[in-house]
Amino acid sequence: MIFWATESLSEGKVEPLVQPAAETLFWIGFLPVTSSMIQTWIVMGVIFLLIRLGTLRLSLIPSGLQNAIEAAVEGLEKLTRGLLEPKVADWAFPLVATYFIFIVFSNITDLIPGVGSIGFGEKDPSRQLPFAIKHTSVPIFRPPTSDANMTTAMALIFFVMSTYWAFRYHHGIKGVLHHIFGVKGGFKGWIVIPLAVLFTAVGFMEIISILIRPVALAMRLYGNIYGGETVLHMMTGILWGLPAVPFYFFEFMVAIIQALIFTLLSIVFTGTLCSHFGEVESKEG
Amino acid sequence: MENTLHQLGIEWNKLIAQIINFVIVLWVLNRFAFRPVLKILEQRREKIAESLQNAEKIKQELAAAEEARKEILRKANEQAAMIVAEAQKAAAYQGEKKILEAIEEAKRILKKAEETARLEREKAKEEIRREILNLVIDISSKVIGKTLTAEDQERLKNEVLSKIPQRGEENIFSRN
Repeated sequence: MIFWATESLSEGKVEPLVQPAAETLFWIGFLPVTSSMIQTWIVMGVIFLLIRLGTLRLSLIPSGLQNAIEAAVEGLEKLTRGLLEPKVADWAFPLVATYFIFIVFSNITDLIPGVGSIGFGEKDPSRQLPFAIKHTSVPIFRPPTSDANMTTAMALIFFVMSTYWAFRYHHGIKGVLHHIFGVKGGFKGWIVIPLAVLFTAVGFMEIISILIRPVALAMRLYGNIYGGETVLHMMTGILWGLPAVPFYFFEFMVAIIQALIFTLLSIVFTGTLCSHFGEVESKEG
Repeated sequence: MENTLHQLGIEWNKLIAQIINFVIVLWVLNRFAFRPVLKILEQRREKIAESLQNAEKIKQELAAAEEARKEILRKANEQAAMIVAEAQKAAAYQGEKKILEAIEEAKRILKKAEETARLEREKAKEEIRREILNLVIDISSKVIGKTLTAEDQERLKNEVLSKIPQRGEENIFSRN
């Protein structure tokens, strides 16, 4: 049964307003279909539809949707090219551009009424409306980015791809290890020996940093969108939902800013891996 | 760790499903948005560069055409001036020629007149000579009182002739 949720702050409730984990609605074979997965498909469908409509008849003189798509692609390309070396930018551009577009769409779906509020819950007999429930314990729709599975998936893809690019850029494991542990700054002579010890320690820290980056990426995005959704839920439940109005604006900004942060950070992390900064002895450095 | 992952709802099958979803989005966007759009942007950039170049070329050609037009006009003017000058010169020459011809003609007529006059004079001279000759013979025979024989006449004639200056020599007759 589907119920319209009429949100209210239930007193003394221990359970969070919005469950941290996306709820499984049904199973397809071994695949648990969650609320966020349904919305992932919806977002995918919307993106594909827009892309198809916008690029169906690409012309040299753009109009309408083609303009918007071109502006987005060109902007993202400039952003990537501005921060990365040309060849690394070529590798990274499709992935980081997809991050931005997919995350923006996912985040903004958070603001659509019904997302997070239409679902299953305990029936509320005090309300006149049919299908009224006290609280949506199992919503049908949930923004993909407010599900840790999606953000972790994106971060994992980034981790795998950036590592692959690093190996490709530094021509194998030797180059990568040199990039991480090598003595930087172009020192010569006896000073290299104590510096080597120092830079080995720095290298281990660097490895920890590289490993933490995807976790940070995934958790930052998930936390922001999940937190935002919780705030909206809470605000729509008090004073006829009036306090939610400024938060809708705020969440709209957060949606775009978080997408930009995820994209920018993945570009910057790629840049730190695929560069010869401080390596004077290298060809490009 | 396990607990955290469980709390966040991260499970392998869900994670893999989302990875697949994202990879599909990535593939579709790359195939149907990024590549064609970047291609068309590049095409447009080239087209604009080409158009600007063409515009520059057209401008240059226009300037060259204008220059050529001016040159042609200048040449035509020059030529026209030259033709007019030539015509004037030719006309002047023709006039001069006419005058010269007239002068020549006049000279020729004058010369002819002189020639005629000279011939007349010669003829007159000859006549006078003969007249003198006859007169001399006549007077001589009257003085002597007898008719001169043919022999005497001949001798006298020769004598007189030798005294009278020959034709062509300046003599007393030319003074008259």
